[in-house]
Amino acid sequence: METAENTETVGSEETAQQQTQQQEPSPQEKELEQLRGQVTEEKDRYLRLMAEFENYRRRTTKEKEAAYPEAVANIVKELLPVVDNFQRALEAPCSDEGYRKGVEMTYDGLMGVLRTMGLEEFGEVGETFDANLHNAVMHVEDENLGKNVISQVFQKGYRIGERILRYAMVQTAN
Amino acid sequence: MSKIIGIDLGTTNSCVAVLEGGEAVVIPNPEGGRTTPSVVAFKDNERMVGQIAKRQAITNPDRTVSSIKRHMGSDYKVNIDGKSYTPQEISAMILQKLKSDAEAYLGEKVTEAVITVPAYFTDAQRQATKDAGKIAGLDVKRIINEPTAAALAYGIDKENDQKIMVYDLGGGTFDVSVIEMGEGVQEVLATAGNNHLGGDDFDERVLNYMLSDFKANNGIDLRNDKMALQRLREAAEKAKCDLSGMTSTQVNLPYITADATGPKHFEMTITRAKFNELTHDLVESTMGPVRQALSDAGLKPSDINKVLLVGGSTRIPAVQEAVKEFMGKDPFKGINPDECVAVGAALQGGVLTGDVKGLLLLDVTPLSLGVETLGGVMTKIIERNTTIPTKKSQIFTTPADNQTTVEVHVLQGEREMAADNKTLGNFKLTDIPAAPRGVPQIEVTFDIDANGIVHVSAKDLTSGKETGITITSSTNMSKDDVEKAVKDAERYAEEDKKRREAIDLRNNADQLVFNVEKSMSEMGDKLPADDKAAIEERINALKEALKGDNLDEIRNKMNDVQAKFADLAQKAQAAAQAAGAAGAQPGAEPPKNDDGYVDADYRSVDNN
Repeated sequence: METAENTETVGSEETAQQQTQQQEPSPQEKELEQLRGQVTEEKDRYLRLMAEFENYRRRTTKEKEAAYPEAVANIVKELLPVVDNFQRALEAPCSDEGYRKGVEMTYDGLMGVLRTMGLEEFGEVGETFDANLHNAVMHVEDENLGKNVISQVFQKGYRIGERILRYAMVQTAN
Repeated sequence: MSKIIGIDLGTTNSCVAVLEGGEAVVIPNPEGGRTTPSVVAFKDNERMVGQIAKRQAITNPDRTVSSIKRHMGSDYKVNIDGKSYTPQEISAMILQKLKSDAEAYLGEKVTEAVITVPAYFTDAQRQATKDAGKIAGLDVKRIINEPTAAALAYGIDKENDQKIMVYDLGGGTFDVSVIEMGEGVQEVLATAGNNHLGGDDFDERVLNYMLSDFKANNGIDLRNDKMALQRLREAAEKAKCDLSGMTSTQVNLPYITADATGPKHFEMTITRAKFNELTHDLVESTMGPVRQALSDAGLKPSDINKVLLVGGSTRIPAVQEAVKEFMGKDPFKGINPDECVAVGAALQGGVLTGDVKGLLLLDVTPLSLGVETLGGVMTKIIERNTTIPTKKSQIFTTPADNQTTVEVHVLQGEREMAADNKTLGNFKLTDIPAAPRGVPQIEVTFDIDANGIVHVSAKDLTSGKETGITITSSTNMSKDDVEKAVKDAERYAEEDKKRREAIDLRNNADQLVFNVEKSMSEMGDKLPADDKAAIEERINALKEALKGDNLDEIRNKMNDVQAKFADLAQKAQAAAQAAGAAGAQPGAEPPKNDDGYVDADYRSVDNN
């Protein structure tokens, strides 16, 4: 019985509400809604922009810190072909021992400077091939060698710390 | 709300870009590369994508997949280790890597993308690309044509209806497209190309030239020497790139090989002319598809409004010249040809997010804004071309004792002297508490809102009294007026600089006289009579010099005063120390920009 009464009361309230809803919202109410919407939209854009700015700032700071090591790495990388050629020069037969010695000392001097910069070489015959360090340009099948190992090093690999300046150019077997 | 990334999913290389602050930024991969090879490899349950997959390709040919784009939209399957993959699934792996590289770079999740496809892709091929995106966890908001993306990157889409040709000479393929673009219109009229023509072919020509030259000179065929061949191939590619910027380049490869007579070196000068000769037929061959595309579209070269160059090989001067000659107009080539498709996709992504519309409308102040300071100079507070809205403040002080009013004369322009610039407005700040010159702190603030309206205020920091004005017309200058103002400033720069220096010197001299006289009166009896006379004499000499215009005179007299004063200060200090009392520490130098405090004063109202 109570429920029925309640239902009735609710029913009439609803009808009353429906009636008010059917009346047009006033111009002020409309404008208020529109302004509310605008404010939300502007606030959202602002927050997004702030967030983007924060990310950008964070990233730029990292980039700035990385600028010097990156510059060093770039220069050292350009010098690697010179290092290669020095090594080739020393491997070539030379009858003038004095001259050869001079070249060797110059090369040692160059390598000294580069090692101070953190230069390390890698890539040896017999090592297991690792695509993180080596670039395979040739492949052979050879029973005498293990599975997936470096059979020849065409160009040594060089790195400074974690940064690979040049991947070792190798020939792999099996 | 996340960003929509733009992806150029290429046959040999892919590139990803994103809009940031209204500008497209290419996202580098963790190895630092701005493009990523479209190569996927499987090994020991591991999956590799990109450069690393390429490095091991030769050791693992059966499980390395490249150029999968050629199979998109077909039933082709890749079978590896008993598993079968569709082209979409392989492409998805590439997209996944690009997605995570983007997330790593941006520091936020990425879930939406715009991906580009060739203009000639069928519905099936486009759907396959969209599916690939979905598999990779990307909601592909739009698939757009590569030439359209290039046009977007060049900002062409916003103009009237026009017919555009996109000449795309890239990694290993050549594509020509003729498209009609305009407001809401985007129709591909014709496409043509050569699926196996690209930069590598140009390299090969140079390599062959080097090999035959060496053989002719040394009787050795380096083709059999793998190491030598590798070095020569790298050098050939480098020479090609160099010759895009220089008219000749040197190739030096010492110890290229050795024979019974000893080590042999490779040395060669290659000119651009020679390079053009070696590659002439390759360039010519691209004109075939160009003719074909035009003919299919029913157009003549003169019907084409704009020609866009896409792809790394369009950097070659001979290519640019051939296109220019055939089409009868200069091709567009400002944007990095390897990246412009990804850039265009990113721009499309930006438009979809609403970024482009909002942020590209940022305005700038066309000319500098500032105030007039002592001596009739203009002190700039906001430099020209500062993005608005912006706000900047600077602190000034009074030049005369007990000055209770300052006049703020607001100026716009680039000249040194206030009179040569435009007056935007004037106002006075009154009721400044009486104080000796140089003591009050007047903060002048310029606040420009997004509409270019300038609010200038002056506030006495001691009393808190503040007033100001609002200027609405500061950005209402025509482009010509702005240019004229800037040019005038450049033209008169030398003169202006001299005048400014003269004024600054005078101001400094005045300040010096003031400081020295102040210190002298502070020292009082401690200053011996003959010293006092000596320095007074020098001060008078300086005052005399200030009546005239000889700057060197003024400078010399200033130095005299400073020297004598330093002397006296030392003496006084020594005497004070001897007497055990703290000595006065008079400043001998006029204050210069300490703590951002500008030694620029207002003309008082009375001195008008």
